[in-house]
Amino acid sequence: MKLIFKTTLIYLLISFVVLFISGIVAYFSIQSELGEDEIETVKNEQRSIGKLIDKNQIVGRTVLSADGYSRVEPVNSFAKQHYRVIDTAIYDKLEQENVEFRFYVSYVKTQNQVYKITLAKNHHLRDEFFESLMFIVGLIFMLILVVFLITNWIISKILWKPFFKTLNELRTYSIHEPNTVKFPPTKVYEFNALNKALKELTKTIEHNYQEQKEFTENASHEMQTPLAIIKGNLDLLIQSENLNEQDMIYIEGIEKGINKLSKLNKTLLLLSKIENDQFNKKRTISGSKVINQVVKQFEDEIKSKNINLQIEIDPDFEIQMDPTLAEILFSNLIQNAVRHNVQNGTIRIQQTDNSITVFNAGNELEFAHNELFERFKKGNDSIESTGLGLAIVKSILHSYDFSIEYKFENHLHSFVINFQ
Amino acid sequence: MKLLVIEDELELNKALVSYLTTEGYIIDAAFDFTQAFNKVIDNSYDCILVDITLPKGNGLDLIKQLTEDHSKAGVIIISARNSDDDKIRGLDLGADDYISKPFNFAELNSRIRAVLRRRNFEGENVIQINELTIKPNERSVFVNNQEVVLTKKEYDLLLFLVVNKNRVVSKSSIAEHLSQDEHEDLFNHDTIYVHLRNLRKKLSEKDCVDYVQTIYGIGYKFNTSL
Repeated sequence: MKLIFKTTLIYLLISFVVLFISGIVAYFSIQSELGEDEIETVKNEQRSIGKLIDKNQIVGRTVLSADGYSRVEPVNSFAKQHYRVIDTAIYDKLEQENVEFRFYVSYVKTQNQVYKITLAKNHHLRDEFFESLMFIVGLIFMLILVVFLITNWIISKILWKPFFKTLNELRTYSIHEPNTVKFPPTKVYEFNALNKALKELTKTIEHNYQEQKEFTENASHEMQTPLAIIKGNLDLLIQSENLNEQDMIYIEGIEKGINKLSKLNKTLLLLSKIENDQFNKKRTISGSKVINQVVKQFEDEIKSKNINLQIEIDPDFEIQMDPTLAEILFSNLIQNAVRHNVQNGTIRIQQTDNSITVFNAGNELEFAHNELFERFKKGNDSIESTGLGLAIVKSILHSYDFSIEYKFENHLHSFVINFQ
Repeated sequence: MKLLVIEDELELNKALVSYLTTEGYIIDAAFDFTQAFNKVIDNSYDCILVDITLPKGNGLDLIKQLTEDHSKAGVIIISARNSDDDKIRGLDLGADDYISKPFNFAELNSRIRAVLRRRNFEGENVIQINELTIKPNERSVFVNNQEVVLTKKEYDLLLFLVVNKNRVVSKSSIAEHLSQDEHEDLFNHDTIYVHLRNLRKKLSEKDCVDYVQTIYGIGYKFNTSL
């Protein structure tokens, strides 16, 4: 719900309640005022009629009003209730509706006769008066509604303008493009405070992000030299003539660890470089060219696993990417397809419109599908792998807003990349 | 052959000097920019290994200086920063090659040899070991003057072993050398074995002595004394 809608609603609710209460108050106060007035009139009339009866100017049954309801009539005795007020509706033929009447009945006694005086007061006008009162209250409510809607619309257009500007800035904000966010100054204190807070927040975020990025990269860089020292000294050590077989096995173990470590380090460095957008040469690349080139790197492995390789790519299919990244992307995808393949398995690389799908045979994942692209996620069969290959794939695609989807159907893994 | 190793990390510098000395080079070592700068001005080297990030200066400036002085030395950048920008800038400034840390010494040695071949032995592009002749320019191999036709990988493997002859070369450094791609690690030891088996077969068919010795657990050695 929009804030403006909500405030309007609250205001309307308040005005409704206020108008309703004032209406009721007005109704009852007017009603009681009119009632007292009527009673006063009736009393005076009754007194006058009583006087007229006393003076014998009214004798016997007499009609007092044109409608015939107010009258004086001689009765045998007093009614039990000496004074009565009766409300009743009488059908009016002329107006063709029920008309509210109030009858005031009282008794006057002369020396030899009791007279019943009935005074009828037509309440029809009064009803109409209250109806128009209601109508006016309703009208005021409608007027308030219209005025609220118009003022709120104007307020939102003018007063809230800086807010929507700020919102728009935030929407288009990307942490990868620091210092691009601009909050225009306004005369409204609250919006200025908001802008100031946001400015400080983005600054802090950018600073922390930059530091984080630099830390990953620097940490990886710093590790390269000690790794080089270990590797170099190991190279010296294996030249020694005095090593026995057991020494060799120890050395082999150390070497494997070092190689894994340097591979991990290089891959982490690559990953942080991709995330830091350090590959930004966007070129038009032939899809089939880069894939065929990458597949060549895996010839030996494909041959040794006797994998049936099919590549179905339109020679005119083009991708807009950094050439190095494109190579890394397909290299990791195809490496994944080769490594997790089975003996005599298949790999099919297929292109349709704007997407490339890599199918490969292989065993089902040992973990949930959505964890596949996470860093350091790997199955038990891949001791050799760093667990970063698919994380790199995802990171590259992410930097270009391309999508990737993984499926496992009929014992075939498939990775669909959408280059759009 | 006179080499200069410019590397500020003491342990790595020491290891490099010790390894390259046994290769038969005369080695000079420098640990910071000023030291390196003075050595470069005072001496003439055949090949210089230079780290980019140095105390008191940048290795790239040193390369610039060498190029301005029309130095004949081959230059190989050894850098912890595996950055394409540095690589391109270095090569543009006149460096011959770029190798990123951590590297195998066998790999570095093969790069040094390649640079020295390109720089110094322009007429003399032949490696001769008894009956085996390798012509790196033509990428061709002969046994007793009979050509042996090798695949690219077999040739690379042979040259790598020959360049590092009489030294133990680890399987991982062979894998790294043959893959020539920092981002992939597919060369598992089985495929090296397959290439080596094919290479040995082709050489022995032409009556070449099997110089390649298997070093248990670690790798291979091209032993010329066999």
